[in-house]
Amino acid sequence: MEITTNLSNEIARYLDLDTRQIQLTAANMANNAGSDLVGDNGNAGNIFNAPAQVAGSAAALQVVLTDPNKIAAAGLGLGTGDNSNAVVAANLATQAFVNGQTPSDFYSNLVSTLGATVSETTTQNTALTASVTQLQTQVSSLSGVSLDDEAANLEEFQRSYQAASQTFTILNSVFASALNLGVETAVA
Amino acid sequence: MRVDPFYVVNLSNSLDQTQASQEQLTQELSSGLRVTSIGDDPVAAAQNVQLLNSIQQDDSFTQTTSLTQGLLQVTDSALGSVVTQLNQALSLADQANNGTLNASDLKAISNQLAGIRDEVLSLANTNYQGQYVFGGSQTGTTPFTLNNATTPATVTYNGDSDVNSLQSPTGQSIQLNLPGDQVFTSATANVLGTLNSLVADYATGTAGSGVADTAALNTALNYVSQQRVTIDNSITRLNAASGAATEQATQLTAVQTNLMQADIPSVSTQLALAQSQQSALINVIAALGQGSLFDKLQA
Repeated sequence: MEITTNLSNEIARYLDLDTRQIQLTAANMANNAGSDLVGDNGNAGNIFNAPAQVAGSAAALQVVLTDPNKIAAAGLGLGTGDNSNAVVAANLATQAFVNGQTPSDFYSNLVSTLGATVSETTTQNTALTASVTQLQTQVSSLSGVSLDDEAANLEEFQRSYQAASQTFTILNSVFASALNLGVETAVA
Repeated sequence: MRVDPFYVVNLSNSLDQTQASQEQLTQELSSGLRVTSIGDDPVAAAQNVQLLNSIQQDDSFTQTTSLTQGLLQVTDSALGSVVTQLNQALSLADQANNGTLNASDLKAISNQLAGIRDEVLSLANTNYQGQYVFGGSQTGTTPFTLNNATTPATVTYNGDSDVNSLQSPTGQSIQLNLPGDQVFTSATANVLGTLNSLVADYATGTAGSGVADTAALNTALNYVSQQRVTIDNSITRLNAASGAATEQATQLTAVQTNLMQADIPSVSTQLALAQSQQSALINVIAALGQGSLFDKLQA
């Protein structure tokens, strides 16, 4: 069904995280552009692993940084007290680098789109369920066996049978009367 | 058309629906939230994401300001003490320069000035939570070291000229530190160099170039006071920015509550309605379940 396809596309888009990967790459670049607490200068290493971007690669995304001292807060070549690279990394939050949007705008749009799809799907589900129930009611009303109907029919057939048997009783007495020429006898 | 003989299926479907609606309403009542799934109101859910993001930014800035306020206050009080020490040094130098003191008095003043120099040096090496305040970005290295072997003694600066700043959520940049070479060993007003010269001047028992050096010390004192203004400004701006961020977070939280909260009276009414519907349905099912015409036939 169309709605199912839309939903799975939406979820796939969400899980594929192609655009999210851009963000992680940006964070990695920022961390490799400064100096950390343990003396790395421009080679502090990645915060996130960066798998080659293919379908499904997002499942392998994870944080690879294990030592918080390897976060390069200082600018390149500056002492450990500097914070210029941390400011650069913090400014990523306001930069429109995810599909031309800031990360929070992108996420907000994703939530709204996904929510609209969920809402639309729920509405359609309700409508279709109602339609199915109605059709089932129609089917049952045509094909279902009603005990009341059967009881009424049974009663009708019993009455018919009784009426028919009454006819035979009357015929029997008519024939007996004819055979005996009007004389009342014990022979029926 | 005949009536559906299997009406119980329909009735139990309706019962399921009222049950589901009751559960949803109960959930809204207990959580106080109108939107319990993003499908309930996609637009509100998206707005909530933006609001949460802004609130978190404001909260994190407020936390940062309380940490940096400590740093700035330590810096400010260190500079305040430096100014006090320099004033003392100036009055000592004025005494030494008035020409009435003998050689041993001058040597005593030289020793007192050396004490003041050591005090200023230790203030210049002030640290806050293990980080040197006046070292530029080299916060792990003692910024100033004294070499007494030369006359006058020399002070070496081991830091750099790096200036850190904090960005507020509204984008203003607040200076967080003064590099030591700018405050204590500037080319135009060398505080430690001038003190060393004065110590050397009077150590010989004569005034030497004491008058010129005292004038230089006066310049240095004014200069340190000016530098202190930068830090005081930062403290004021930081307090203002922190207050603004807290206020903004409060306002945004109010907006968020308004956006997401359930209308309790309306939800309660709906819940009562759903409950009545449910009990009515249960009664109907109970009434309809009482046998068929076959039961009447047996009589």
